[in-house]
Amino acid sequence: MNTNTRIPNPTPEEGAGLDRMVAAYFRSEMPSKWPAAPQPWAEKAHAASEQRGTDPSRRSRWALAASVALLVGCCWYLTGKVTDGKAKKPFNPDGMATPAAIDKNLGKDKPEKKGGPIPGMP
Amino acid sequence: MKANPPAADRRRAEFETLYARHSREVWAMAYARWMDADLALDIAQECFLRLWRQWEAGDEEIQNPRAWLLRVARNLAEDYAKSSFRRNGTTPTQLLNGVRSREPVPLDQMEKAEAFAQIRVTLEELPQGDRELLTLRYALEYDAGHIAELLGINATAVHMRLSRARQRLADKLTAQGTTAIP
Repeated sequence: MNTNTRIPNPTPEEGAGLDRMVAAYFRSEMPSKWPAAPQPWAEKAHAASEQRGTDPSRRSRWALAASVALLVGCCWYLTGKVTDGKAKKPFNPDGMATPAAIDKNLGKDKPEKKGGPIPGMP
Repeated sequence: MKANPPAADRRRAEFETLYARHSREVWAMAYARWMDADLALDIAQECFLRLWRQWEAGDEEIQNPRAWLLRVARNLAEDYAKSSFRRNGTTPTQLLNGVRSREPVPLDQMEKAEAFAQIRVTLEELPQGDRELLTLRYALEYDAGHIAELLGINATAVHMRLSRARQRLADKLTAQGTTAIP
């Protein structure tokens, strides 16, 4: 039984072959196109410009505000148009006196006090 | 007030010069840790971004940017080991080796892919120091003097360690019957 497990040293030819093989392996691992240097200054400037004016949510916020303003304006305009600029009469389906009319006539039913102020009194 | 424009331009130019000069070395350090080219590229980019941030903060003067970058690359590669993404992971890339293309694969191409897969597995079994030396030697084609300068050791030590690393790799590959690629 052969108990010799020692691995023989590579011959010069084998050594050259190994060199070529390992070199080819490392060459294949190197990125074929080396990336350009990062430009942290450009990224910083870009981030700053984004923060300054080109916030993507800014536009939609403006659109929402304009829509709400338009809606409120329309409501206000239409309300004025229907009443023709006059104060709106309260709805009175059964012909009863409205609270305003009651208020107006309040005190008219009361008997008038006879005689003026007591003479001699301020 | 921060740096005036000419100083800022100089700094940018210096940053780009450093990137052109050392980004491959930083990549090699990260690659030697994980044997993952894309991850190493991400780590290399992150190192340079951190260098820029460090410059901007101005807290600490970096005397030797190259050494600083290599140290940060090693630290980031170690941090990656602790990250949840690494722990939980996604699909192991080894599983993708079993996915077959619809296109017929030429025999020599298949043999080459198998040899490379074997080299990768073998490299992963080697100590990280060996992988660093082999990556610098074979990926960047650095000579012993250049490697010595980068790692801060003398050239004789590099020769010795590189020879041993290469021998260990050769022994393992020979034992597995991988000695050449077609």
